[in-house]
Amino acid sequence: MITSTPPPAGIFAVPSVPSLPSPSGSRARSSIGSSFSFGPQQLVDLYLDANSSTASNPNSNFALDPNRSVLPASPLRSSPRRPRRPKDGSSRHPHPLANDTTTDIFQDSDDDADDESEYEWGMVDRMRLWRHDALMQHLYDTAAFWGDKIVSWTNDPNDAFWLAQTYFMTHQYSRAERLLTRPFPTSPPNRPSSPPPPLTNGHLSSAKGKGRDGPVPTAMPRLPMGPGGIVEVPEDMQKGVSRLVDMSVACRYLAAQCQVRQGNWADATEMLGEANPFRNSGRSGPAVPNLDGGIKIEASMCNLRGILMLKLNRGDQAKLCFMEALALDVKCYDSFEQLISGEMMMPEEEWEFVQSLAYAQQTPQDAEFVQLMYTARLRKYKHAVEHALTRQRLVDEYGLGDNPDVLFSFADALYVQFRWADCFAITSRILGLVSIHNPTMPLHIACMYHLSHLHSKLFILAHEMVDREPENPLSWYAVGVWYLHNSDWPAARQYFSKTSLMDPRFGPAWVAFAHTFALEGEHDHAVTAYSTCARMFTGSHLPLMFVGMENIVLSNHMVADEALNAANSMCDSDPLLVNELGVMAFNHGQYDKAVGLFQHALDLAQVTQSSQKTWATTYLNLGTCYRKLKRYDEAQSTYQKVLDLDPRHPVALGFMGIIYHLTDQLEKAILKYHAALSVEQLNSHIMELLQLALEQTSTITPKMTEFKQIIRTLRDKYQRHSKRKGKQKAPEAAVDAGAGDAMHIG
Amino acid sequence: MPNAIYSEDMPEITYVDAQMVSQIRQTAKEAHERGLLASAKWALDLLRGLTDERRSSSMPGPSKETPSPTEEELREEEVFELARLAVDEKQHARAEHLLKDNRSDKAVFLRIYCQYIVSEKKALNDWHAFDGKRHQPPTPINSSLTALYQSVEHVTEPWLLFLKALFLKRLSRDNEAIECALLSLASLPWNWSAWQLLGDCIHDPETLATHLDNIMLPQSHPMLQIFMIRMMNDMYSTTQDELDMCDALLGPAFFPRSLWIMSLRANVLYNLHLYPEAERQFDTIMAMDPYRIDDLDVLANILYAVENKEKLSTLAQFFLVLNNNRPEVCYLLGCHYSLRVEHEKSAKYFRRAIELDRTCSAAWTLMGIEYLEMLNAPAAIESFRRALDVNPKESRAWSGLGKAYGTLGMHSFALFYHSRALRLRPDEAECWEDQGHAYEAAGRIDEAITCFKHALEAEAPHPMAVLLRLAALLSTTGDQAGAIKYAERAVAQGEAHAQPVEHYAKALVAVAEYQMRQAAGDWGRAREYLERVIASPAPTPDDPTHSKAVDLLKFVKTKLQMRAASGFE
Repeated sequence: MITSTPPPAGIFAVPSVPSLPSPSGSRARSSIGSSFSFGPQQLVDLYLDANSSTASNPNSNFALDPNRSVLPASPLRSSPRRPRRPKDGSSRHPHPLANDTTTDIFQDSDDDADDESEYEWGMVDRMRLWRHDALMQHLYDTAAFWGDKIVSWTNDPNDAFWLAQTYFMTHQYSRAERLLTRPFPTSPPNRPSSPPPPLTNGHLSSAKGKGRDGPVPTAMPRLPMGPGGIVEVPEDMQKGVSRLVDMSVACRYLAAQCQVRQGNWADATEMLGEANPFRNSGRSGPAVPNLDGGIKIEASMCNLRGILMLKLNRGDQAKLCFMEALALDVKCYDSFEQLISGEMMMPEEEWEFVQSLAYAQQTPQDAEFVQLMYTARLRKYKHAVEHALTRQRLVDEYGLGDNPDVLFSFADALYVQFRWADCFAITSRILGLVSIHNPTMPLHIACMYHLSHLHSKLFILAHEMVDREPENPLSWYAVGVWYLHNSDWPAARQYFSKTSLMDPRFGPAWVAFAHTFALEGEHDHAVTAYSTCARMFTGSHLPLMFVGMENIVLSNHMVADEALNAANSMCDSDPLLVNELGVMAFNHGQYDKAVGLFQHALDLAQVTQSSQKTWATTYLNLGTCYRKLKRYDEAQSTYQKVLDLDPRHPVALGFMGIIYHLTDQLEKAILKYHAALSVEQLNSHIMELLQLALEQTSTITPKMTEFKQIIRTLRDKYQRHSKRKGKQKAPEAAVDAGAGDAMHIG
Repeated sequence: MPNAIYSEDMPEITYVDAQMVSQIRQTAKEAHERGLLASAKWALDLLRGLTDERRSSSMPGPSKETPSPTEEELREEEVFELARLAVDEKQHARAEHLLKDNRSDKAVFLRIYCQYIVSEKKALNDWHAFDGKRHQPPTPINSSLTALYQSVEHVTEPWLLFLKALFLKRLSRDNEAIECALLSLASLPWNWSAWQLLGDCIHDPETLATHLDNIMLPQSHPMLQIFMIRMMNDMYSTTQDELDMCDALLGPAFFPRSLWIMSLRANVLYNLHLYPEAERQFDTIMAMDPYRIDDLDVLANILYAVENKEKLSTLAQFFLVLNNNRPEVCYLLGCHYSLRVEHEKSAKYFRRAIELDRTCSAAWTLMGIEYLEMLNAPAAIESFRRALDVNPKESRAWSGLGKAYGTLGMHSFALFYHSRALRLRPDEAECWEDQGHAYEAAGRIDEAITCFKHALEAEAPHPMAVLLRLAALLSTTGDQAGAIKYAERAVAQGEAHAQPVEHYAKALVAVAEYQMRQAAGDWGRAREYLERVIASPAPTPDDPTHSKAVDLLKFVKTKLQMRAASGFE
């Protein structure tokens, strides 16, 4: 496929962060009393420690393995309804994708998978089944109710995790967090043996599995938690007590999720660590595949860290976190989405990054597909051939011709070329397939803005969206765009700021907000607003370009140059930007350079029939440069192009007049000036030029002889016949005597 | 239709042969199918204009030349018929929708044509929404023209080529439109709409000359003759030759009963200022077809020119009852009120004519003239400009613009427009006069004098005014001899036509004064002239010419007495 791409510059390397605290090997690992920090370092130490000690049995510390997913613990997998086929007894390493022997995140399966037939379910097992089924059926209270009972009996960390998960799903974040951070009487490496036999999730365990239904297991008292989350554990119990977050990566991740949801940024940062704690552990990294077929929990943590960084307004770090997440696990689309739709990377940068991800190592079978899907989503200023190929392959080889995301890629490519009508056809198709498609909506709305005959449809669309999805920022964005089109700037601004409030990372709303100022003529405000955008969306050249454009209007040429050059260094293949650079070159009097730039812009734009109108301005600019260079013929043909597109283009008409004026064709010049004035009646420049031309022309006394001459020759040529005809009329009349008709009356 | 049969070395066409007749017939049928009513009507008028023998010499029947319908046309026949009916009921949008899947050439034509009409109508409605508001653009703007043009950009079928030419014309790409129309005409010589379009695209004789060479028809082809006459009419360059051509075309060999050619002939007569004959030509037409409204505007012009109020009002009465929704009728009414000096009403009817047919440049022009009469120069300018947008060959509009700008004191504008008018009608004395006045107003006396001299050469209808003006101007430049020459011509003119003395009183005084100044002046003549001036009734009590004459006469009398006294001595 992407054969013409230069080979990836190498697998994305996670940069080392110097501030990472060094692992403290001296710390007592499994006790709360000795831990001063809630940070994840302890967990890592534990993991490394466990790794080194029990290298022979990798299964034993899966709960701490960041390269795993929570997939094996998913309700379906752990549902006892699944008949468990006894595996080949000798295999202690099941195939990662057929990993149904490992069903809980703690992986404390020192117990072998034995004959299931012997196993009869106890009360706890049945209740676990209830819990899972209730979760699947969204009966969260049911799940929480029975789950709570299970935890009380078993004190099993796995059950506790599921209870926390249930709380999380019902948005009881603090409750889930409390559960995950409270002292828990078991620590996986050295499991206490005194409590009643903990039953594993719905299966197996030859040793304990035979527990009959008989006596209910005696519950172990829950350990208290002091005020302010401080764990108060009696001295005697400290030995065998830990927190769930210290025992499992999944629990830590869930706890961090809860804290993020509650807005406890600081706590969440501590929970997750400032940087990926596993980074230097030697057992993580892009090249390490995920063995169980799920998504690496480490990647999810990085993603969550990225979100956290965004919340903390640390955009650069957020970008690194998302990149790390995606590098660690290419399947982590959330991070990809954040990076791309948040425009965090520059076009070329994102292309390089996405091409160099470790697809082959992580998803050997699906590497190509994932890469294609991601490539199709990238910005399309460059690599047009590759993009086209990518889409072609997705359609032909993977049969995704009617998939919204693939269609979106087509629409995006058309939009970049300003082919709004075509783009709108595709976006309409997408919205016919799905009721809402977030990446598509801005394109769809923008097309409706540009195509004037769709304005009433935009009104309806905005209304429908607000009715159906009042929580979606896009709905309000649509409303804002409608007001924008109606030139109702304050209302548009109001709705755009509402959109940005709902989703501060939604770029189009910020830019449109700035556009309202620009269109209203409040250029200073517009510059400020665009600058804010530029700060927020560091990968996009557009805000900087707009800053440049506004400064051109304000005649701040120095500032404009700066902004445009900065934008150009981010993306050098946007025709619009090249046009602006040409304008600046023109303003500096470098007409040759400007000609080159304008032509380059038109080449880049690949002007097609449906987008011609958009580029009329660039043609005008080009023509004016030619005029300045006194290349009048070229200028004239360039202006003529604009007039072919829009015969009533007042500026082009005026400029055409100037060309005629300069080449001393005063008659034509005057006519063109008149044509321009008939479109735009009060253009004082043209009026002045017209006056000038009229004064010049009236010094010439009219010569009328040539007109007569031409008429005379013309007539001679054609009258010859009629005269001859007159002569021939006599015989003719004789022939037609019968039909004689003297109708012609003198 | 094969066009190879017309090659350059074809013998001259002296009569309409059977093949031509069947071609006209075919064109009429096809034009009607495609909803081109004007073209169909025109072709049918020609057919009817044939003598019976010629017509029957190629009766329709199963003619070999009629191309049998293609497979597509047969398959789509019913849908096409339905769409055609929808067009007849003016449901163009529906017709367009019905035809959206049809592929035959005529279906494609009808669909795009309907699309065009729908878009035009929409543009007009959008424009009327701005009625009475400041933001209203001068003309309706049809924004879908480019898209329409693009849909026919690569066609080769002659009818579709005509459509393409039409769109090109609307996009102001006249040269391309001409080429396209010529291509279409090469295969469809009898499509009058295409000729009309071609004529509208040609604004000056140079272009006409270059493009006529490219027409793939023998020069004696009747269509070419008709087109030439029309163009000459448009450019106000008709002569006796055109009249002869018309007579030939109305001869038995061609179309002796064609009403359209008769009205063309009437128009030629009108341009030749042979008003009574033109009127008679129209009487013939009316006798043959009393309800014919087409070309009524020509008749209105004729009656207006001869100021035949009675006939004009009779006609107005008759047609107003018949159909007051025809632009020609409204135009007629406008002329009627204009003759009765009811400018507001007249302007109203001209406006109505324009609303019914925006391309009626004559109505725009006359409306402008009415506004000029009402001293509303800006409105007049606007009207003249619209007239010129439609038809840049309209010389009356050019000179109207010149006059309007003259009243606004914008002399360089006025000069330019007068010179444009003059370019179109170089032998029209009025234009030269206007130009002269404009130069005079702009303070450029020498040029003004040249123009007035030209006016005299072109046989100005009121030479007295020109002569007086020339005399006055020359005397201001200090060329007393020249001035007096013209003053004397004025006097001669006045005496020859026995005009009332006050018309040339100034000339008389000027001559008298000159004679007095001369060393060997003819004092007797001076005295006689002055006495004539004083004897005539003064237009106003303190007319300067009059009082000057009185003063001068006193002086002359004393001088003569002195001389007589000295003679006695």
